[in-house]
Amino acid sequence: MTEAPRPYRWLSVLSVVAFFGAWYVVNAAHLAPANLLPSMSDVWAALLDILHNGYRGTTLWEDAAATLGRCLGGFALATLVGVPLGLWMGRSRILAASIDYILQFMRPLPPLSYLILLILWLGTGDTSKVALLFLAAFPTIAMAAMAGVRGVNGQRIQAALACGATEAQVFRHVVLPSCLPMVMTGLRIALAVTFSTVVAAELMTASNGLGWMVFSASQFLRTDIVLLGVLILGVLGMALSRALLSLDLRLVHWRGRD
Amino acid sequence: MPDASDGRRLVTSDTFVSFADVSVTYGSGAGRVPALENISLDFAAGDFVCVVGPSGCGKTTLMQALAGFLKPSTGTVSIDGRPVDGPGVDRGVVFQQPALFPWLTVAGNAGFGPMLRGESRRDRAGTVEDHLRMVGLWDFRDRYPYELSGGMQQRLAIVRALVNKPKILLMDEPFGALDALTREKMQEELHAVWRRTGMTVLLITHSVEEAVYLGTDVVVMSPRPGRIIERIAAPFARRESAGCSRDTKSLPAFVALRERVLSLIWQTAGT
Ligand SMILES: Nc1ncnc2c1ncn2[C@@H]1O[C@H](COP(=O)(O)OP(=O)(O)O)[C@@H](O)[C@H]1O
Ligand SMILES: [Mg+2]
Repeated sequence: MTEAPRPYRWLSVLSVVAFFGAWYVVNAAHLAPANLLPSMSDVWAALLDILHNGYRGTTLWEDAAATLGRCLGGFALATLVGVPLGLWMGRSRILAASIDYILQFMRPLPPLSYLILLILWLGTGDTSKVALLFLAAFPTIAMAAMAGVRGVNGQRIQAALACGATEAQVFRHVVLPSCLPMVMTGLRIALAVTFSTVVAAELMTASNGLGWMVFSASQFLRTDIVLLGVLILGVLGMALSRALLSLDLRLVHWRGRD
Repeated sequence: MPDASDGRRLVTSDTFVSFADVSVTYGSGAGRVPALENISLDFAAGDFVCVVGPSGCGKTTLMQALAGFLKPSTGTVSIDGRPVDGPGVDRGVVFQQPALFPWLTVAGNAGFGPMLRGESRRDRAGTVEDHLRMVGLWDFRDRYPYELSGGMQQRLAIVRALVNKPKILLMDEPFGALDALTREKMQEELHAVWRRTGMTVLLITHSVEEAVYLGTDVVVMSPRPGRIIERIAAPFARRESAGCSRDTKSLPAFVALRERVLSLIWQTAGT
């Protein structure tokens, strides 16, 4: 997910240009029916239309905000619970053993498989969606934090002890910073999981959000809006993961260098 | 001095560090490893004790017991008459890998101990500066450890220990990963620090030359089980510092002692 080194960056840009070029050619040469593959100008027109008039009663900003809010809400909750729990699991074999199977069971489980249960229990509102995202993200985060604690370099701990560190100081000044790279990696994976899950959840049950917009438009065969939604979702997801990556690179400046 | 004529020092009244009948066994049952067996070793404050021996003879285990990182299965290790019970600031440690804290700057690493004791940045600035200047790292104070060369990293690891003013400096093959030239420079610096501070040093090394050059005492160990087979007094560390290290290292007396220690190690490996 990191950026290509500078001399090759133009290749990345070129591929995007090539993608739009191919799209243009396919439409211009009438290689695909316009109702299945709308042209770039159709999609552009749909964007202007939605920006101006909204889509079925909600503005594009409301939809984007709804999707982002659910995503970040579930992700924040998963971080607040997952990181401390994982750190604690890394230090307590008893706690780790107690919830090991539960986490292992949850981590590969497709969240949509239990979405219906959450809806039955918590309703069709945002509560069930945030709960879904929380459950989707937190095993990954907790396990990353646990692995971080277990992987702490023992000699760093010994060096700190010989500088007079207490147990609490070792945790605060050695274990926590040592875990940071793993925790940040876990968060980046979890954010990607959360984002793809929120869109899928909105496809199934929602009355706003970008996922809902795409799903609703598909029922009216508005492929221009579907395509627009997909592009917006892709760019938004990319922006989210880049934001977290740049935070990671700033916080964990020693990553790969020690 | 109550030294025996063969150079073996007997238990003396000025004992500072004492291993009394120390054994350490790792694991249990079939996987039992007797790493140290009935080790008795005393040395005085200000001694520079070098431990040599083939891999796996228990050198690291010996140091870990004195550092307080592990408890002997039997016997006691004591400092100034008090049994060692866990690690403490009176014993600085340096490992082969510098084990620095990459999230802290060079100055942050150097001031780690004082920071733990609640000294403000301003309070510890003077000590940190003195120590960093001493090893030529002052200009790098705002850099991070991964921006330093291997030799500089190891200097910083030594400074991180020295800043706490330990009574004993424990070093486990600290120069093992350095190139030959850097290694010789570091030997000189360590020798100078020891001269100046009068600190007690326990240095584990693979290099017999290093041991004979720096040590007041060279302890030779043999493996399976880890035992001390010989303790030899070496005169070169306390010599009046004159001439360069290569001159000392080519003195006939130096070469003779180095060969003697080497042949002892060969013997242990041959059995
Ligand atoms: N944590 C451990 N668990 C089991 N065996 C160990 C452990 N540490 C060291 N040993 C064994 O104890 C013996 C002495 O090890 P060590 O003190 O590291 O020797 P040295 O530093 O001289 O190479 C070796 O046989 C080694 O394999
Ligand atoms: Mg060793």
